[in-house]
Amino acid sequence: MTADGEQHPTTNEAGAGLVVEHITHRFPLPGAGLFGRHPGFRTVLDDLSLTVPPGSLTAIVGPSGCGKSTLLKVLAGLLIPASGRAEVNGTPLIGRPGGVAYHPQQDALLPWLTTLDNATLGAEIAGQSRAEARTRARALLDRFGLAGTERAWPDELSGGMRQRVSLLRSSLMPQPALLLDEPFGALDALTRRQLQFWLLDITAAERRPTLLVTHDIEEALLLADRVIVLSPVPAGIVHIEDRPDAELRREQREHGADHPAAQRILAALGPGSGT
Amino acid sequence: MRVLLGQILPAVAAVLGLIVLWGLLVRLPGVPDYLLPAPERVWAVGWADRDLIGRHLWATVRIAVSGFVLGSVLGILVAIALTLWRPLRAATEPILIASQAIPPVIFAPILIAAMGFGAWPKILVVTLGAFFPVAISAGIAMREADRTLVDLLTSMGARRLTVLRRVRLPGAVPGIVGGAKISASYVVFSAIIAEWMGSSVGLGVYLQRSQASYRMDQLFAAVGVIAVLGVLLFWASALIGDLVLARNRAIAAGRST
Repeated sequence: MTADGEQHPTTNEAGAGLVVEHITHRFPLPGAGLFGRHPGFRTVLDDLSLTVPPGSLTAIVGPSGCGKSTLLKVLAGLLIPASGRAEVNGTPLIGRPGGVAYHPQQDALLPWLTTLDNATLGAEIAGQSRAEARTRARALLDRFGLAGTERAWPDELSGGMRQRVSLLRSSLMPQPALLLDEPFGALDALTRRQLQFWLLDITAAERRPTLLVTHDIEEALLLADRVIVLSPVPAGIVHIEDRPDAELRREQREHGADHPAAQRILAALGPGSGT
Repeated sequence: MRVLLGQILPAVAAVLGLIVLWGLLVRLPGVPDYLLPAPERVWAVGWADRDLIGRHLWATVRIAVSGFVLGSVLGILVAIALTLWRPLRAATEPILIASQAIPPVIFAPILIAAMGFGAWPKILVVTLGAFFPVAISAGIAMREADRTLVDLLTSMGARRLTVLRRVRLPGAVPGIVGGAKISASYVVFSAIIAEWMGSSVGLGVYLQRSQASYRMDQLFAAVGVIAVLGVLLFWASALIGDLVLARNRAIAAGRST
């Protein structure tokens, strides 16, 4: 499928930010083996298009198993979609891993590396010097609540700490876009709040387009400039909630004024999908 | 020293029990001395012959250990090559398996005929037996590396060689150690077969001469030495393996659950 003009959400200035156009992805059905007469496929992503401008954060919410993680894997170059196009600042992403900083759902720490070495892994593989990456990682250890664990092995850390090391690793990666798959899931409320504000800060400061997959509607309302609601499989966009700027969102949250937006998102998610 | 109490003592007790049983068995009427010599006689003969046995033992140890080290390194290299290049694996795996179906008894004389009576043909026989368990278990461990970690590195833009170096190889250390332990239990056997087939020195030669002259006491003494050597080599490789594992931290995966 070729991508011509008509884009779903908005058209930004040409090539800037993360642009996803008409992505359709299918998984082969189990049982369609060597001599399978019927090539069975299940469509997971159905003609998805979205744009994340620089310095903004788009959150994706949707029922469990609707293909949110699949979309991130496609953008990370790990899955080749049946059709569609994606690029960040004009650089194509499909089938070309290494173009975005991808944060998988699992913390995926290498058991044979210490906290510091795990944190700098992505930056090192992207070609940065280890010394420079270490300096940047050390500067962030406090903010991530990881001070004193530089030389700890992953199995010596709690689940929440592991997730923070993983998040630190993703944020140190130099790629021009950030894709986060439920990065705050295992965190306690306090650390979660802290790191949510940190994410708001770096999105504004680094100007990287950021795509966040989350289960948490409140989190989406606080962090995202735009919330995209996906339907159950095959996932398509059923609702787009545009949000005010970060300052106003914080205020709204404090006064509970984001209730109507939450209602609209819940309605779009449909009955029985209160994930 | 819990290892000493927990593992070595029971083993020594079991062996002593077997020797006592053997000593009682030979005292039964109708068991001819030239077929089953008494343990104390075997000990006496072995002790009297200790210089000669020691010389042969040293030759065997050298061949077994060299073959083991060479085979393990070769096994890891083969596993890496087959992991990096799938067509190579499809093409060569049947050949590798076939190489294990050929008994060293057939293989050794050919190598010895080609390379002479030096140590190398025998080391090669041992290597051939030792590389296979390492290659297979290392290969499986590298191919079945944690999918999440492989995907992560791939998404970072890592090349195949980088994924191998940073994920597959460190993750395969337990598999490599496991394969090396199996190899270690084979190497003495292969070394003795190789010596038996044609050599001037080594426990295999000593065994062959003892058998040819019906010296069952000497034969048993050598068998005892071989058994102890096999166990010691296995323990040594297990110990080195544990040290590598501890260093590699792969052991941590088991501890965290």
